[in-house]
Amino acid sequence: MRMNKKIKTISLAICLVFLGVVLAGCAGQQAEEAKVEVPQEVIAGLGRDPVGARGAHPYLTRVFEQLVILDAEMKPRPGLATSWEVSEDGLTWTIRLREGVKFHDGTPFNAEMAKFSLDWGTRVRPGLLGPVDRIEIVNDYIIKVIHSEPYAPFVRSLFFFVMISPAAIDEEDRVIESIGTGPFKVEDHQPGDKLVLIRNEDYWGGIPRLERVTLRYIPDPTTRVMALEAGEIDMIIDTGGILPEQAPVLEANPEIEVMTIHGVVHHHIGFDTTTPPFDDVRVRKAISYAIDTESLVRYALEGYGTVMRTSVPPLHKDWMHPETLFEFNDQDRARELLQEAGWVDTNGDGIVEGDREEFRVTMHLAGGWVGRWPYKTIAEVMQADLREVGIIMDIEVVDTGLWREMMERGDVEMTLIPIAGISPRSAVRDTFHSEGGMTVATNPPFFSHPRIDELTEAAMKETDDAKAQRLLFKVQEIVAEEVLMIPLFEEVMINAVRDNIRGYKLHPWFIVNWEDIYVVAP
Amino acid sequence: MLTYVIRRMGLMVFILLGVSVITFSMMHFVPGDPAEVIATERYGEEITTETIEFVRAELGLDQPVYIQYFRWLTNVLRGDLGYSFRTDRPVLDEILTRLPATVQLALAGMLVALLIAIPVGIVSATRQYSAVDNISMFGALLGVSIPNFWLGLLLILFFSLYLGWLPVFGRGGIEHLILPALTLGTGMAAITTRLIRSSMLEVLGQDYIRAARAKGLKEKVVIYKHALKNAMIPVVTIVGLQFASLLEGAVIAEVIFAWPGIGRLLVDSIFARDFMLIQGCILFIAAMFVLVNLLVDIFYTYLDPKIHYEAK
Repeated sequence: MRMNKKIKTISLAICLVFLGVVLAGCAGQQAEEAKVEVPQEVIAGLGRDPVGARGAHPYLTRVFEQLVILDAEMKPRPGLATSWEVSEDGLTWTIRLREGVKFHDGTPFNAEMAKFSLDWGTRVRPGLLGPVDRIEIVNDYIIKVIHSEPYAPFVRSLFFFVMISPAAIDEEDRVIESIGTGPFKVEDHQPGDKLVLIRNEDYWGGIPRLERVTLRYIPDPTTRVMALEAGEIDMIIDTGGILPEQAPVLEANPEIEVMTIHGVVHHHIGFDTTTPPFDDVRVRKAISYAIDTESLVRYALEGYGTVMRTSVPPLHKDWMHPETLFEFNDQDRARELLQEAGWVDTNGDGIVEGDREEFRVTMHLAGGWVGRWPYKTIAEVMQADLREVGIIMDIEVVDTGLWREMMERGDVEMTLIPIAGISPRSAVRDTFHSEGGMTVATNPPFFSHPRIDELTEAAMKETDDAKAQRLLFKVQEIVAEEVLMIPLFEEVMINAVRDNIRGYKLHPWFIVNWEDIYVVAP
Repeated sequence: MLTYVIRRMGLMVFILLGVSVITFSMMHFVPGDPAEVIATERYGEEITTETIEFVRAELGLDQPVYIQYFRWLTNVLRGDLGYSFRTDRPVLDEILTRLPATVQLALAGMLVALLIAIPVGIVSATRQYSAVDNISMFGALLGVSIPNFWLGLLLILFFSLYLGWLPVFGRGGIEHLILPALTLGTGMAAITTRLIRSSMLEVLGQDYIRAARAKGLKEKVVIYKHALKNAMIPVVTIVGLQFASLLEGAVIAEVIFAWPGIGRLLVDSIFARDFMLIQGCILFIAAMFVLVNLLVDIFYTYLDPKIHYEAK
């Protein structure tokens, strides 16, 4: 009997502990915001933690600012720098800084702070600002950046370097706190969950209308959309925030506005031009004629993509070759070219043969990218297109790490590659120069073309945009003439807001203009 | 008893050591360049080869694997689990900030499972082959078969979007806990119900139950005081293991409901090749498993006085 009592007590205790812990975890968060007349607060959902190794994400949170910002057309505009100029020899950049700016901790922003931030930035991200020799302070509001050789993408590269208060960095260059100059400052960060921002009353650009912004990290895209539909979040931001297949449902919802803009990423087909069958330009050209990129965008991306006709995307409008360089969807022309190259269907099975072997290739896809973009569907559409002209294409998805190794070893015949770049000069150089990418988002190239090497190197040094553009037009012509790759499409970034949110302007590099956004009565 | 516990704790050290060696080597034999993955994770798409080399040197990834391991091990012995490659925050902080969310969800899921499983299991056993039994066993089959992610999304769709009763995602008040706990709890309830049923059936066939009934004890007393306690021994083992696995994070439920727990932390760090955080998480999870197992073993002695541990 006594034993029974003991067990009763123990079970009761266990139950109480269960309940206690559960309730304790919930308390504290019960006192959520009290509703006033249209409170100027928004909650935005996104698919990643907006705080990383280098503090709050500069574009998504705007806690940090850069010397130079890029507008929606990716043209450099004054940020914390008001003007910049380059010397005759292209080596020295003189940058004038904005006056009257303060960090969130009250430290005034000046030349010393700019030099501090750039020195720190180039320590942790070497190479990105070009071959920097030294940074000099001229006076309180002017600094000079001196390169050892001309580096034309310099101004755009400044976009990657945030101005940070010295109090935010420890002796090992770690960011211990996010202290910038931006319109919003960090109030609270729960890793993996949320970041709460409050407005910076001392912002140099005027006081933002929103008082508080909460960024919620919601990893599952379906949950993100349902949270927006249920009104638990007011916006979905960031690249990849909404997937193309989700957009039609939201478009049909009268309470939600779906917004789109050029994404920063464009995609192309790469092939190994050094070994058969793709060492023959006629075969490569046949592939591009065989593919119907219009229907590819329609089916695989629900129409949320822009077909490309040259190797520079419409994102960089001024740098894109004005003429149509690539032609697609002409299967008769594709068959003719294959025949010229010696690929003919001799036994009537619908597959072309050359030297008694069937035309069979493998497209290797990197696993990480298959998860991020509809590469598999795209490859399947291509597979059907190529089969029409008598080519069998197998599709194989491999781990991204293994894919890179295979690329380096030359074991990949054909693949799909994403390219991103804020600087058209660097993007073109990284994609087509024989030394491969200086930035690794691109690929070790499948070809070596001395003329392209020359042109891209010249463009990297040419600080006059108009002249550099002409150099890159030439590169685009060569790429198209020799079909060194096939441009597929430029992706579209999809975001959405509830109908009581005003003032949000999409930016291709997912910068959020928090200072212009406000809330109206629903 | 105390010696037993001490011996088990001593064994734990070797288990953890083994686990850490295995994880460390597995992580380093995965193809691909970790420095590149980490650099991309840290800085986004625009990274230079120089940045990658810098990251490699900074994180010591240019050293041979065994040196990296021993450096890590000496730091751990000093109580330093290192810094996350991806977020640059201390690994211990990362785990500890996620722990309350994970424990809360695990307990709630467990509570849901037991609240369903115990009564249903008992009723099914005492009324074997009745309509109640058939329905509950069919329910259990359904519970085991329904995938977590599907159930989770369906619950959100119904309770949050159509009815508007419960929030879609996130951690907050008790209302935030209900859907993830249901998602986690149903699968577990299904297994546990079947287990309790069969265990009860076995016990109910024993002689001492017949004796109790012959003595004229009330059926309620026979079942709840005599049978249930003995039937719980195998159940406790399984429930303990299930609980331990809940503590390592219920990845799917955490992802669907944007619940900031350990499971998501581990998955995020695996994708980012965040070796330090992976090692830390795995070590933590292994320790949890060993500890919960030990607790289960100790709990047996309360359930059944015939079981006791002595040092030999």
